[in-house]
Amino acid sequence: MSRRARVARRAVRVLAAATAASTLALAGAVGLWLTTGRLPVAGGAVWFRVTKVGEAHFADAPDRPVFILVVGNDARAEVGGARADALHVIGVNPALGRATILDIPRDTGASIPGHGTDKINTAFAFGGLERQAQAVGQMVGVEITYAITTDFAGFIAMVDEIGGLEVDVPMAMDDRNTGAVFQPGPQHLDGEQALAFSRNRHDFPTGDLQRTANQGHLILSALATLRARGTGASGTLRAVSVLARHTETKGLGLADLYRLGRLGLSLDPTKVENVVVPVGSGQGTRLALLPSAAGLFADFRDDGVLQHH
Amino acid sequence: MRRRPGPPTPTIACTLAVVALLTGAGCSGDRSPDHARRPAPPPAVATVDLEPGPVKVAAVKPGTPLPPGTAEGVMDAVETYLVEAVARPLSRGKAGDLGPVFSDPARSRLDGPDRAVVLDEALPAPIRTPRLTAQPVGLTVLVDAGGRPVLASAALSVEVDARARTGAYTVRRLGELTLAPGGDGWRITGYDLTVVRDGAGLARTSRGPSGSATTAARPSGEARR
Repeated sequence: MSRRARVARRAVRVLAAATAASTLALAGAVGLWLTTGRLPVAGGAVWFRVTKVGEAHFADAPDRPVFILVVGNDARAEVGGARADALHVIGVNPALGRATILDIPRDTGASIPGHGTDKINTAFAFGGLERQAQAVGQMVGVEITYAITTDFAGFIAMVDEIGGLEVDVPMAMDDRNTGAVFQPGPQHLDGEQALAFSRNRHDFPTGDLQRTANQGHLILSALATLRARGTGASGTLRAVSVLARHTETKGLGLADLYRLGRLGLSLDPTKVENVVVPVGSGQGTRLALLPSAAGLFADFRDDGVLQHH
Repeated sequence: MRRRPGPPTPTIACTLAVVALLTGAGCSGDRSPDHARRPAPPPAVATVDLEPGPVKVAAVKPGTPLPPGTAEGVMDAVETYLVEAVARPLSRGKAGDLGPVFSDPARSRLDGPDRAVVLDEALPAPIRTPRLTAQPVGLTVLVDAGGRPVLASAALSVEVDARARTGAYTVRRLGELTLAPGGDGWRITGYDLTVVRDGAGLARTSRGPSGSATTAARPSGEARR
């Protein structure tokens, strides 16, 4: 075969192979298009990207205003007849994400169901947590849905088990009675120190009024401390197990405590007001509600949030 | 050296071309009106095979052991959730029976905007079985003073890779489920979930509740009551 003929034959082969390859590629592309409706022009390259992001949270927590009574009682092995040393009604408005802590001075005179008028904290000694909730609910004009109490030992153990509290101490304290010795400013308090902080009243001219305000401050500090450690489901379950170890509850089980915990931890402490119920001197050692208390209670009871105070 | 005798190269190329064309012709047969009315069967539902992670016991009475079968029961419920709310709707378009999966309040909640986060409905139909991969599921179980499990949380980190006609996409779901015993097993009573759906395949949905196309990203935010 001549050189010219060999070259011609090779050219025909190359042309045929190229034609076949092109046909193959085209046929594959057509097949893919017919199968998927898309031409493979992107060839693995990302031409555009779409991202959808969404979040959803649901804890089956109360969705209407709820009022919770928190009682610190002074039950100790060496002292009989526990009384409510700390009394706080917390109104939580889930829709607004806001709350109010009403601090009730323990010596406030009030009607105690079944026992006439007495200091409001005596209700605890007369009928425990339930009677205390009745007395407070009656005075403020709200229906207390849940009530919870702890004693000195329970409080100390609870604070220690959660690793202490970060508290911004508002003023210097030096009280030998309770052991409250603090410089003002942010500091970490263990259980004993937190109890001393919450019991100290001798350092202040307003005595128990400042003490009850400090107790509300401590509740807010606890909220901030717990929030900093996580507000999710698993963290709340652990917190509930610790809380339930050292508290007595009325009207709520562990699942309720969890739901309330989720509700509480959803609150930004800066959106929680801490207000002492206004009282003045009254009969004997009892304190009397000041006239402004009626407006405060009315403001509080409609939605758990203070609009005018 | 002489070549071994055999079909000449053009013959091979032509044969391949014919095969390819026949393949194309076969595909073009799928586009006939009859086949257009009979869509290809959907791919199989992705299988869900979860590994248990660490189990923490939040016991009111310290040292209380977890009752036998508790972790398995919670894991079964989480797996059922992933099948009925993620894998099945992804391949079939709609969620399965959510009754045994969620408590009544949580299920009611899914009638609202949370549905798009908790379920994978109305996404582009996969053309082959999606692949679901999950990190080991960490559990925390709240146990009361009597040793009974009351609530549990399950930490989820799940990724689904799917390919639709419009391209590939990924669904990543991260967060926690809260579960309580109820009925025959555990049910989901709450959730804190973040979902990120990402990929070119999401550019156009091939199906949706109203048949509309979804191209815009859902703004990030919390769906709260």
